[in-house]
Amino acid sequence: MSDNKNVIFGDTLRGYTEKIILSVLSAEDLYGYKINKIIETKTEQSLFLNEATLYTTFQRLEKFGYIISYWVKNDNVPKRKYYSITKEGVDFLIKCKDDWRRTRELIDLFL
Amino acid sequence: MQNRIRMYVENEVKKYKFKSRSDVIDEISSNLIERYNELISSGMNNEDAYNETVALTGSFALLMMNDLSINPLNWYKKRLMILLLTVLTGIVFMFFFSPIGYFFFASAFIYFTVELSNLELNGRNKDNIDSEVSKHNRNKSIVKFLYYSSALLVVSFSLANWDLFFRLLLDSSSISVFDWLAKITPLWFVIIIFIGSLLLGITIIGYPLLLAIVNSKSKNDIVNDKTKISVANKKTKIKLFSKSSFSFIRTFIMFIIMIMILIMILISNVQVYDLIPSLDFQGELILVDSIHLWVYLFEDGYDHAILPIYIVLICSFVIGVYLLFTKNFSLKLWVSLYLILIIGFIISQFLLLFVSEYRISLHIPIFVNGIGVFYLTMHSRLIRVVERIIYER
Repeated sequence: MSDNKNVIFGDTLRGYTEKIILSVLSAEDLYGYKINKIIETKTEQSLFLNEATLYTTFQRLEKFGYIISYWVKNDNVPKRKYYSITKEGVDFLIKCKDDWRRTRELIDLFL
Repeated sequence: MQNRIRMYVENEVKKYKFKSRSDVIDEISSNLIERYNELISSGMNNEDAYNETVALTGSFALLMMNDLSINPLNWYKKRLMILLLTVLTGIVFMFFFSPIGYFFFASAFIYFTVELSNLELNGRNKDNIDSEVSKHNRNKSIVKFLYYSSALLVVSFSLANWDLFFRLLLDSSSISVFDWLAKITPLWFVIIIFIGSLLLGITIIGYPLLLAIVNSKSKNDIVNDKTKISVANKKTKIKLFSKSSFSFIRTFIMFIIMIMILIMILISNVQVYDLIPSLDFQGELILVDSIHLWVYLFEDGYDHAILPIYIVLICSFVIGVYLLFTKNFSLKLWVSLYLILIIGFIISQFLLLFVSEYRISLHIPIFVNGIGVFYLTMHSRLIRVVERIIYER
């Protein structure tokens, strides 16, 4: 994150952020920063979503019914909003993965 | 430092409307504070860590477009209902102010109804075709609708100016070209001239303005499609414009309805005359607008009536368009905006009492129209932003 040139911000990847977040949430319930951290680690610090993009995407996914949220309050730790993927979210993710696989197969024929 | 981060988030968030602002602040602050702590742990100094952390807040401006991108059809329908309310309210207002109002609002209503039917059609197709295609079609329709609304405003302002232009050319004792004509010619001739001048107004003033707006869209299309069409070629521009935005059938239907509205205005104006016994037009049926009413009220020159008409006209459109593009529409907002309108109207009346010079009073509405056109230009920028977001989605 220290080198901003290597950071691809959310705006560039709009359209993919929902799928990326769903994919991360398919493993376990997480809160915003943790989700972002996993994305950052997995992409070797190439991708880190800003808070506005993250929040906007959460809102969209909740409206679609793909995720639900709940607050968790622990001692000595500020309260955190956790997100959990729903069955609809899982179905959507499976469909996205299938679409992506087919798209990649097609594009690979040319690139 | 945690409070400082929280304050930064609060300042960012308060610029936008959220259902639960405190929850949003809590959530984002906790994320950012965790990030800040991590940066500090890595050895970064306080100020650098703070700057890097708050830079990750981003802008929430896109949030207002969320509704639009999630469900364009619902977004559109909601806006259409708001517009319909504007139209209906506007008609009530305009009955007392100017027949041009009838024409503008009726045109708006027709255009948006046509556009709604397009969207409904796409909505019905949704179940039968691939969802992405359906979404794309709906998005395209919304963009088209936005351009139509823009075009409608251009034409409206053009017509208002055209009418004023006539007034400036004519004898100072004349109210408008139509009143002047009505005194020397039969009614049918006045109606023909009226329709003719509207057409001429659209052709001479409205069309080039419309073309200028659509041209920018065509330019983008040309670049995107990588075609070899020359932007500088005027004929090509007109062809592109005709293909993208113009429909002879729609225009024809619009003018048929306009004629019907015109007849209605004529009939209603007879009643207006009945209300003003001091005006004697020797039983002749002529076009009349609110100017007569104001002349009667003020018992002074015609000029005293012109400005409020245009203030109301412009304000109604501004309110309509503003509401059209405001996500957080509320009755409170609606009432407060109209309150401003009414107060503005009353103030303008007082101002007019001190403006007795005929020519000045004529130039003021032109200036107001100029502001309207400027507003429209700004508005078209918003359309482009909306368009970009829709297509990116």
